[in-house]
Amino acid sequence: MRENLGVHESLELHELLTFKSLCLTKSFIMQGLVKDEKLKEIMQQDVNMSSRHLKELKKHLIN
Amino acid sequence: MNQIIAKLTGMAPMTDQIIATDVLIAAKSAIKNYSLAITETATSEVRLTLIKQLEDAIEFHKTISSFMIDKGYYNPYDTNKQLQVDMNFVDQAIKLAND
Amino acid sequence: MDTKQLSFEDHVIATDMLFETKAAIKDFATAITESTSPEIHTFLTKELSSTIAQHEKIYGFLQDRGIYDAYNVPEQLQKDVGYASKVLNQ
Repeated sequence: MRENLGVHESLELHELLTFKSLCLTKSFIMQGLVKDEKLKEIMQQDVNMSSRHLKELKKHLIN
Repeated sequence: MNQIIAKLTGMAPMTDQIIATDVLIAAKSAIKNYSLAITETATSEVRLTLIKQLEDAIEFHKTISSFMIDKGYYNPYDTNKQLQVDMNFVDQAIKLAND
Repeated sequence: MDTKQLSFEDHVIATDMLFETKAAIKDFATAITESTSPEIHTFLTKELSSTIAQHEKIYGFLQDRGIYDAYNVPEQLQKDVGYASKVLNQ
């Protein structure tokens, strides 16, 4: 845990990190089951967004 | 596991709706989770990151909900129709688990 | 503590169940504050109790398998960062 972060905010970051990891895994896997092209595209957008968000969140936690 | 996937894909017309609904619920949860987390931040870089990600989450919620409205999965202006869609959804879920 | 290592797939599914029960508890609690009829109120209260019990079960499972350690926060944060990295590398 980074020492310059508050305890509560670290825990919130941890919660978001787990939540987004879950979203990313689910969107990535379930994309394979989707038939509608537009929905596939939306889910790919979600995968890209979640990956970017996770990397940013991680940066705050590792130092 | 493969049996479950076979069952799910067997209900082909429903699969997209189930997945889209899951994506919508995740998008809603993301907005709630980010908003709550922002109220607990003390460090300004953390707050900036979370606000930016919240904005992305709100934008994404618009994308998925508009898609669902276009598809008729989600009818915000017709409660009766929405109730029908929901009931159908519930029946499918019960059937999937009990077959 | 059960030392059997949970597979990545099981880890993801169990974590999903944990988050679903968390969301369900919040949703039922919110719905209770909006309900007016006593029947609905009683029904939602009962559902809320069983959702809380469900959350306790799945949380207990994750704790037994060493995925959640509420008593060692720094180590838990390291684990979560590790999980996120694993997801990003999939």
